[in-house]
Amino acid sequence: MMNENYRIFGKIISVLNKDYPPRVSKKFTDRVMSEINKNKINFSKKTSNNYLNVAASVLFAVITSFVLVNYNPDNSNLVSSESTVPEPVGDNIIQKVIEKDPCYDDNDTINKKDACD
Amino acid sequence: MNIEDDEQIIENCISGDTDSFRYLVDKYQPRIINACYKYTKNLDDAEDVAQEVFLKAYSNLDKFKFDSKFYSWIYRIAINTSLNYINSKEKRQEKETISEESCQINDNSASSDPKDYYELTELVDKVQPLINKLPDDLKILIELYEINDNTYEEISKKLSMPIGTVRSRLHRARNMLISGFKSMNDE
Repeated sequence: MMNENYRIFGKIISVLNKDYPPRVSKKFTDRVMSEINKNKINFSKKTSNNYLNVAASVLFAVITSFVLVNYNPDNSNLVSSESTVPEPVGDNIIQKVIEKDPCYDDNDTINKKDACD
Repeated sequence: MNIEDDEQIIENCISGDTDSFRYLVDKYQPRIINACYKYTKNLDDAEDVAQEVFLKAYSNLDKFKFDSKFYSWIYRIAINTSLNYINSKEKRQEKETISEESCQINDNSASSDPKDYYELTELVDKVQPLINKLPDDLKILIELYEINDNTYEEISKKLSMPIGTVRSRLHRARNMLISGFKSMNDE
């Protein structure tokens, strides 16, 4: 009965506004309502989903903060200790360079003097 | 007999009373179908698009801001949905060629049983006398609220009348129109 009143009033205001189609299906409202019930659109469910998203964001923030606060900066000692250890120098290579230097050629005394003066 | 305000119906829907939305569909179906019909140029398509409009409106009802009228809000949804429909139809037509078979389907839908439809054109001559029978103070309220789309607040300022009085007089005017319409059909 209540429904009928809304339908009548809908017709009246559409005619008053000269805003009506030539005809309207009598089953239109039933079709719309059955689609709504089929899809089960529920506003309380939507709200609970929003709360779930907020809770997930807060949890993520807490975990991130916890990880950052508990980060141990002493781990950087490993890097500094590595850099202080002197790398072994290839003694053989230095020896070879010295041997090839004309200034240190004991046999060629004349050329040695010219090259090194 | 009392017709509730749109705002009250929307609040009922959001609180979980899904079936209240039926009142809004009943009230606005002719205008929304007509808005879609202006774009689709076909009544069956217009009803399909209007159905989509009401579904979209329902699923976004919690986003409706009560500072505008429900009709203005759903009308915008109707225009956007109709434009989307036209764009998708044009794309479909680019791919398809019109066959005799598809023409026959259109012919069948046009010749549906008239008993399944409300004919609104025949109501034009019946509604105006109902409005004319209303007292002047109620007639102006119906014009401002239902035709000029003013809000309660705007009417209250224009007529220097408390909002409560605007609401109660509009309720009275609506009830008078509905009972007048019913008695006219009974005769």
